[in-house]
Amino acid sequence: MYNGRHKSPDLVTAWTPAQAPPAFEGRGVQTLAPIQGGKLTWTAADGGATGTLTASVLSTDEVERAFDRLAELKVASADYSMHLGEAWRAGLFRQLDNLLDVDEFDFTDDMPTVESFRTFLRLIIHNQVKRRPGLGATADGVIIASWTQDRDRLTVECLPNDTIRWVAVKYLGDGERISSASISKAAHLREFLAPFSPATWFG
Amino acid sequence: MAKVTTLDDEHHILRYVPWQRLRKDEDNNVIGFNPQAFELRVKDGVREEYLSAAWVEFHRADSLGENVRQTVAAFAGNMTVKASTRFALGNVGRVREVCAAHKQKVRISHEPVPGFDAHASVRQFNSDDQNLLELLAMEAWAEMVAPP
Repeated sequence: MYNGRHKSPDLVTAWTPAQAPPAFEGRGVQTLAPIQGGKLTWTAADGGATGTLTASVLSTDEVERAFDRLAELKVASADYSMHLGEAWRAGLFRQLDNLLDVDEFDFTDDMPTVESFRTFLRLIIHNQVKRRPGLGATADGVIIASWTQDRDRLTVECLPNDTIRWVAVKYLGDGERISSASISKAAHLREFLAPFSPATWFG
Repeated sequence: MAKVTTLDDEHHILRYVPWQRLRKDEDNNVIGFNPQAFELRVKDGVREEYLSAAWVEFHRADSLGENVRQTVAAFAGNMTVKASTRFALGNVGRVREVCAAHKQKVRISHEPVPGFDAHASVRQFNSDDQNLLELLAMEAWAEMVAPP
């Protein structure tokens, strides 16, 4: 079964077998069923056996929305470029490209919002963060910034209006696990994390 | 209505985790799950009533590995599973234990739904507790399974 999403410039016109996704190469796609619910059903001769294959198809709307949102996020970062540094910003852009990769992103979620991203940028700047976090997103489009150092983890949800929800976990020398979670303003995170030695994560 | 059965402590549950809830490092390498992978979703202002997963031993294979393989296949028959998707595997007893330590007496049950016979639910679960979500993501429900 092919379960990857396949980008097509034209999702209205029924595809021909020659336009099959790469996963179907050499599998002898024979017939196509009509597009229904964003899916294409393929009948294929695969190694002599005939089966029905289902391919989930990206709508052009999803591709365009992801492209537009990616552009909006990158433009929003321009307001803070003098604080971020060129290399940091280039690395951040690679991470945004990765997060919003249309072949990977689950479009049943909302896309990361610009409001959340602005909180993320201010979190980075006000807390003098040198080390880029990993990036993720919640189902409702809130950016997740995460720092991981061995078993010590810091996870921050960047809510609109400079508000963050965070949870920190650190293992002490004797193996004892300490953790803390709270909601605060982005600018003050380093102060709240003082007992956890935030340089472990922020550099 | 399909029969709902409480799952045994020694059994396992598997949860789908989308790309954007995977934990990554600054170079985009996938290194685990974010706590939000175990958060009840809010859609159109309504929060999910339970956490969805699949009961791994439903398939009654001879090994845990084969049961997991068949469960992943069951997900793939029910939804789009891309190469980047990961699944979180957890022991039912351990998940119950960790939730209980956070004052949550969760109900983990086999609760089949149309088109997904292995479906399981984690009910009476409050996902507002970030410390609990972190513990699930890091230890109790943290074994990562990739699609074939």
